[in-house]
Amino acid sequence: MLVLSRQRDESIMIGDNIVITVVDVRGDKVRLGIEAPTEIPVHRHEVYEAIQRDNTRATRLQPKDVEGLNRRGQQ
Amino acid sequence: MQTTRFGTVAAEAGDVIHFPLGLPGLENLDRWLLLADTAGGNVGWLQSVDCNDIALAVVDPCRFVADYALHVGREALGPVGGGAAEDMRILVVVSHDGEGLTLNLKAPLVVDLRRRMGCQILNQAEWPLGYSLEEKRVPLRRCA
Repeated sequence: MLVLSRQRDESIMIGDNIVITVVDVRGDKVRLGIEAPTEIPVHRHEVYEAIQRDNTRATRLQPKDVEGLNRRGQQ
Repeated sequence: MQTTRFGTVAAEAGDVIHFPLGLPGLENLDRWLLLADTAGGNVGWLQSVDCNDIALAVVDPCRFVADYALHVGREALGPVGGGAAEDMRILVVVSHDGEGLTLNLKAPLVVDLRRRMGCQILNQAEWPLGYSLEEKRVPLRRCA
């Protein structure tokens, strides 16, 4: 991992089209500004990982596992 | 195409839905088919075109969660957001948490049925990632 120290208002460039700026530092919380093309998604890491895990679990379901859902719900 | 869950599925090139970024955990899979439940039930299946054993059960969240709504800026949809709102459908992935089936209400799928594009995005409103579909049971107290 590349580790850099930045102060408030300083930035990091990733490639030639992603810029990360330290917008604010307060206590142990850092506010980051991210400029990136819209086709590059930006996520909080733990949120993205949680969605990855849920999708992976979801791929194990078979049609019989969800049969009960077809009888339920508000139609 | 051949699928492990549904056997042979007949599909044309125009049926394929393109997910430019794949899905989290399935980033390299960008071509999918949306198989509707022929019995008219609640569950559809998003079947990978490139991996015949990978498919996700999906449902219309409004059939299970009465007040569900997606709050998202159009730019968050990226190239998928370029179409008309009436062509877009919101689906959520059915998963399980070890106790029962769950719906990912935090990160729904947005599919443009006319332009045949889709993505999985974060709902900016607060919704759980593992919304339990189990009937809520009152825990029984142990008697002394």
